[in-house]
Amino acid sequence: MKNKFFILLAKIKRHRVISIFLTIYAFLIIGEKIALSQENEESPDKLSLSMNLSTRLTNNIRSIKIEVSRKENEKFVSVDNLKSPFNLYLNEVKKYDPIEGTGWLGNLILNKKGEGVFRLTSNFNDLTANMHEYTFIVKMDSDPIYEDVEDQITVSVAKLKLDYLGDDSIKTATATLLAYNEDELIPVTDIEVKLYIKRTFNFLPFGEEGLSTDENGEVSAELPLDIPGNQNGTITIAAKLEDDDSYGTIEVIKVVPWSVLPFVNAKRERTLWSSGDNAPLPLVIASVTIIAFIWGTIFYLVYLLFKIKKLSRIP
Amino acid sequence: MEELGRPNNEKEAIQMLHRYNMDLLPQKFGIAGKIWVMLLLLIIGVGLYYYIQQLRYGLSVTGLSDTVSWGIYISNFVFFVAVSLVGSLITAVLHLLNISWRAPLTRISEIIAVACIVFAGIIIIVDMGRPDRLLNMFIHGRIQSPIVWDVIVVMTYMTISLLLLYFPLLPGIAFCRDRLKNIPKWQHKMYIMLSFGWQNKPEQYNVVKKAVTIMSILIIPVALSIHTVTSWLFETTYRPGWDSTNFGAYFVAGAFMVGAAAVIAGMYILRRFYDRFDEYITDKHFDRMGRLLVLLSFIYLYFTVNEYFIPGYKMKGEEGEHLRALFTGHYAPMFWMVQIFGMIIPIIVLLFQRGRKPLPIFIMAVFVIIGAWFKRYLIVIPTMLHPFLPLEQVPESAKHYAPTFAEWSITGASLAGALLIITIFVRYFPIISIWELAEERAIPHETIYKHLNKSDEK
Amino acid sequence: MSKKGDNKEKPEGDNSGRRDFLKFGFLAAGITAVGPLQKVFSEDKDSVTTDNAEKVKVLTTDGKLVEVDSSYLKDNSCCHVSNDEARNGIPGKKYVMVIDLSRCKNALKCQDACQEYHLLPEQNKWLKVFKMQDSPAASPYWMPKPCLHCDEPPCVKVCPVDATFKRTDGLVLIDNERCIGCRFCMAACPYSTRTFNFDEPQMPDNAKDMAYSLETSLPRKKGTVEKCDFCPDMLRQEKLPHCVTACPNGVYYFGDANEDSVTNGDETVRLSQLLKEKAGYRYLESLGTKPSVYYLPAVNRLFPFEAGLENYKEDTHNH
Repeated sequence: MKNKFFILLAKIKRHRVISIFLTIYAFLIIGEKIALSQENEESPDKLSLSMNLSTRLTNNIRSIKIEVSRKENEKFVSVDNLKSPFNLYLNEVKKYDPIEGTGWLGNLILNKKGEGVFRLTSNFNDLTANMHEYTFIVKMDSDPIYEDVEDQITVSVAKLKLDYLGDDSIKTATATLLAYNEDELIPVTDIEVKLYIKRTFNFLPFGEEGLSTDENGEVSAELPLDIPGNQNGTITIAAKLEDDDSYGTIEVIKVVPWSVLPFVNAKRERTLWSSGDNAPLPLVIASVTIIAFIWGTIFYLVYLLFKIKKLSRIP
Repeated sequence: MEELGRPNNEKEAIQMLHRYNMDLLPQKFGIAGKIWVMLLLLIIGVGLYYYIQQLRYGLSVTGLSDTVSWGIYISNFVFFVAVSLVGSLITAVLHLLNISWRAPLTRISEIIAVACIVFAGIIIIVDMGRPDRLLNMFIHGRIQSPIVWDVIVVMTYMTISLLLLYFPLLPGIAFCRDRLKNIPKWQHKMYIMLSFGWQNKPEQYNVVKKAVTIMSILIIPVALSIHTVTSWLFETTYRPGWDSTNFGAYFVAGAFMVGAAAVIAGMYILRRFYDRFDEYITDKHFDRMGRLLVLLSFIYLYFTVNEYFIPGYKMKGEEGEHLRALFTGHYAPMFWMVQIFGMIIPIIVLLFQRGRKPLPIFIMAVFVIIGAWFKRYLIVIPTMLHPFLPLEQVPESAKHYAPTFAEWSITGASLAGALLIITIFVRYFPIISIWELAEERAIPHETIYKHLNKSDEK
Repeated sequence: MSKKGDNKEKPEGDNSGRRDFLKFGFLAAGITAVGPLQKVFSEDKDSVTTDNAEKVKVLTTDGKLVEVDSSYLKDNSCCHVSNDEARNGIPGKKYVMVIDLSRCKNALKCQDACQEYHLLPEQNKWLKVFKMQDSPAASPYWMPKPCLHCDEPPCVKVCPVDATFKRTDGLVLIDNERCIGCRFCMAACPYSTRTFNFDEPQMPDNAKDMAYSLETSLPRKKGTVEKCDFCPDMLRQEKLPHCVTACPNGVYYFGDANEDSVTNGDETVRLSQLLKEKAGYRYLESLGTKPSVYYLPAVNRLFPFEAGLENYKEDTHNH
């Protein structure tokens, strides 16, 4: 029971995101947990889990990521064989209520690494337009192997905009961060927003390091002019507010025109390390000539052999 | 050869020819011959057994590792290719130079060449991890790969060597067909089939002579390329010890030397086991071959100095480590034994006239052959043990190379197989070309044509 | 979890999505509505999602949907290509790796991940960390060495049957169904990269029965050569090779030279700048093989050399 409490405390600490809302309810939950763990004492085989939640708003699509791990000998180990679904609720653990827009949203089974992502549809934002703050609750219960686990995360709604202005000599990207104050969107100042160029495996930062939003909620930087873009004459840029305590992660990804094309090396050249049908021509010509000459002579010799046979028939 | 004399008149010529006919017909083996064949078959049998094991369990039956990925199969391959070069040396070079004492030696060298090149081809298949995919070589062959060059050149050389053996053999086969009595039916049929309708006609002889001349020219570049391309299998890599511009010429020189030694050994053995062969393979032949061997050994010595001692002057990086292993390190005993017994001692002995007598020259030839085999071991293996990166995080077994019994027996079987081909050939075909010998001894052509003809006997 | 059972019994509406998702077999989800079914993502069709994953739509009893990110649901089935196609390489890419020697402490996590992912036994290692010392007075350092995927690869030059080949994206791969086991490539490679399956490779049973894929190099085949392949199956999913993600110290940077950018997972930098600023070099440049792997010298190290000694073994176990 003491353990449970500490885990919960740890959770709260880990998600500094969690609002006062959670703190108020914390003791109630502890009560519940105590009850749960008392049950568990009857079946001591069940293993305890710890859960980590994070939210991300990508181009206005919100997703909630679950990562579950288990502590074994002071080390976090991956959780496999977790076949029970994890349920996602909005604000309250109850059946979905279309009028209030709260309740059970869906569930999923975690992958082998103990991770899962809920991606809310775009109309989620419309449906919850009147809410400026969400509390997502994720709950898993009735697993034969693991103890029940529940966690929640609260995020405030914010908007991130990304504008691009480009001419031949200077290309600038500007990100603007706005958040609700009452029912009005106002600039958020002094928060670090980073600007990136999307690359195959990751985002390449550009501009000064550690830029924070100014009084207009803006951050802006020049793009490096020599960086290669995509094949089709565009480049993908992004602005990100990362792991913010109140807003979670917010990112905007945008495709803009770009003139520096990447070097494409798709040409199949005739080299010594090419495939057989793409051998260097001098090599092919030389070898074919030599082989043809020598084997031509060999065939002539075989012809001579048959000439000998033919000669035997002449009296 | 002068001591045998030349015929003064036709009668003498016919007598000489008849004597050749009697002496040089293939003979049945005595006890020694049979034991020899049984011994070879036994070695081959053991080798076959281990090859089947290798097919089943893969190359794990060998001592090979990721470090030493080429072992004695490859060094044995190089050895075979080297020895097979002798066919071109004796037949083609001596023919084109019109050396007057070559006739009794040509066929010995040609059959050695054929047997060795056949087993060079076989041993390279033995070395493959996936012999079942051999056909990929033809389906997906890449002309950029030295292995493809090697396959082409080995097949070409094998074909030319076979033809070079076969053309001058035609009168001999016909001779066996017509003269050998009391032989099994299959043997007679074989002679009929292989004699290809040979009738001892002057026109046929002319065709043969024409073909031999063409082949003598053709085989020289092919023979040089077969061993040069084999050296390129190593030279096209970056490895210290193989990364040498000297390699092609060095390999060819070494091949000529061991090839000449192989012919000398063959000559000696034939003379030992066939009573009247000393009349045909004379001391003078040994003397001449001895001089040739000395010359070739000197050439090889020259290349050896260039190949080892000049890089040894610099001792450059990894190359230096490799050379140190040869000069003073792990491989020093083998390296110096090979240089001393495989080259220096033969040169010294053969410089003296007395050293060129049949027995000493035979012993020297055997030294050279054994030395040559281990020389190829030294070319392949120590280099593989000196890669650029340290030999770390490999199993202990990958830091050394010791051929397993399976490898030795398969390698032994390939050598025995080559010897068996030669032995079988000697058993069924005249090992000295009678008509060429007769020509060399100035027996008139008409006499040859007439008296080698079966109608003459009846 | 009655919902789960119920929903599974009675799929409705267009259930192609459901089939899609059932295919993966381990997700059985009942999802209630968040709102009426509408066209999704129409407003930002051109945008790129962060993880570039396809989305799986999970249909529910009443035809509403929530999405579950498919990259968390499934294995590599999205990006499988035929072996013929795999010979060409991923269009427009030119993969490079930069190994920062100043950060390596021979933790061998890269090697563990590689061994695990490629189902390699103890004695066969595609990725090694060498203890290097350039001259007696200089301090030793740890040098991880995958296949260097040379642009002018000596191993490919000598292959007689096109079994090992160079792709347009820079990768040097091996077709283990074509390799004849001549081991010429092993002799030709100056970097001791290639290993050979002397006997039937040890693999889990289920791996043995898979269809052979050029991009996973699995199942491994007896009598053929193999080596580090830069995990092309991961690259096709735009994911980093396993050694890169496994490294705890960010030693490995990986990326696309055509995009002039490499990342070690945490940090993404411009390739050209990184090589310029940290004096990048290629191992044995003088051989002219033009490797795709660069090294950053072991200066200003993150760890003392000795930190790596505990993992250092000169030998591995014998066969």
